[in-house]
Amino acid sequence: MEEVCLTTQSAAGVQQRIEALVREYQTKLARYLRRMVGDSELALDLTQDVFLAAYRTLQRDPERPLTAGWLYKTATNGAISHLRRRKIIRMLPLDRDSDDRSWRIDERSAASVDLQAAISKLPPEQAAAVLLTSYAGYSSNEAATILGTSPDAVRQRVCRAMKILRSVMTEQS
Amino acid sequence: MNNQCGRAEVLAGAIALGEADEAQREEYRKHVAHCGSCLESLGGEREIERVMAVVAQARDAETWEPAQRRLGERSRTRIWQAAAAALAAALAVSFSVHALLPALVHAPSIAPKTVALAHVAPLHAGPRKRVAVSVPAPPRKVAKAASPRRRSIVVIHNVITHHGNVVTQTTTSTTEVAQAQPAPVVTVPASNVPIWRRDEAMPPLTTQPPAATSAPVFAGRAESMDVTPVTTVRNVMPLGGDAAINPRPAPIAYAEDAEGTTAFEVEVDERGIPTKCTITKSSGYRVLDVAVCKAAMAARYSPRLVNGKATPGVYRDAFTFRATNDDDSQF
Repeated sequence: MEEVCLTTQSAAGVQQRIEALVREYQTKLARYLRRMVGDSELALDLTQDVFLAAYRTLQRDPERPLTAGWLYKTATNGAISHLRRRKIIRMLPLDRDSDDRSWRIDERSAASVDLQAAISKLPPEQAAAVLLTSYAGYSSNEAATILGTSPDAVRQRVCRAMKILRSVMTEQS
Repeated sequence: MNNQCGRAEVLAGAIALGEADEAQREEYRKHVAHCGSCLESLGGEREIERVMAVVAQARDAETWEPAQRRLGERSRTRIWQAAAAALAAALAVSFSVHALLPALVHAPSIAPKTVALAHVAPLHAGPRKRVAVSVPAPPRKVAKAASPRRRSIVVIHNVITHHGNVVTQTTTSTTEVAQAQPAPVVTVPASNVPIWRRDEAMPPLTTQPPAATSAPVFAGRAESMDVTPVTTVRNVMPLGGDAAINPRPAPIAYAEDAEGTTAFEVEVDERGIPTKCTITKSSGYRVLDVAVCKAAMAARYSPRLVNGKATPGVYRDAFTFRATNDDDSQF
């Protein structure tokens, strides 16, 4: 997958590098995180956290190159941490669990499959594997680097996620 | 699960991601050929690709744009949620201080230690009693590997007719069975009709308003005296009614549990003979699309009539195929 690697070889400085990263990846990361956690507001918060982490990293080491993989890795870790934490505090009524809007291929047709409901049933690691590959467009090797595991493990997670998606789609239809 | 099934999961994942080469696909085919549980849970190659295609289609249909925020800005909803959580925590601490502190202060005078232990002990001595709550399981059909399944496909025919401004829709369904055995009649609700189909319905009999009525009328001019005659159009309809087109998919469709909606249009000449069939929306299974076009080309049609004169026309329709088993088709 094509990645934009921004370094400080241009004399723009940290601020400009962060702005360039936000312009390039904000929409992609927010959409990816929205599908991971199922909540648009929370996805925007997590996206902010990613760029804040990038800002702090660049402040410490201005020469460090930040790739899209680094951003997705930080975003995935943040989303998985949130999903694990949400499992514990789900009984609190203040925690809004899911986005109001479903995710359908055809938004007008209630008969089409609600994929967001299916993805919310997946364990966080499987959801990350299937979204990084099928949604963000990474190969299993690249997704394995992001998730810190092997390519075969990513393929296995995708397969198990696909199994659950298939059963949910069958129930919905 | 043995190692071979674990390997099959990796291969299925590679197929799902489009990374499997022909050798890996062949290895997967060989495994599922003799492993019924893997075939049941993972499905064939086409089934894997079909599920992943749904994800890809949903990704392509994504339209949500994130609202622009300044770096470090947080959502108001979550700030209020955090504030409310903090308030709730403060109330809980306040309640515990006010309600439990007096009890702790006067605890020795309320009950001697022996009595307290006697009350506490039974709670921890025996196993906890729990009220059994039975939740009815969802009616999922799990096919047994030992019993052979008889597969069938439900074909839903969507017919939409216009009578003036009134649009009526009827849905008929037939069941195509792989083996030559009688199949139960299945009724599928009309809500399965995809919405995109409704817009494309063509009225069988319409009266077009004269085009000249929209043109400006100039008093005293000869042009304003022209009156265009009313045009009567009757569109192409299959001879023999809705059952005239009867698609029969090849047996491989039953084995693959092929499902989907195929929309098509047939060009019909002035003699009512179909000349060309075009799939306007594929079901994702070539075998279903081919069956639909084959049936559409085998039928005969009444040609499009404009003021009683036969002209070439187009007939549009759609079929929905649903894979079902005999035990599923009883409801």
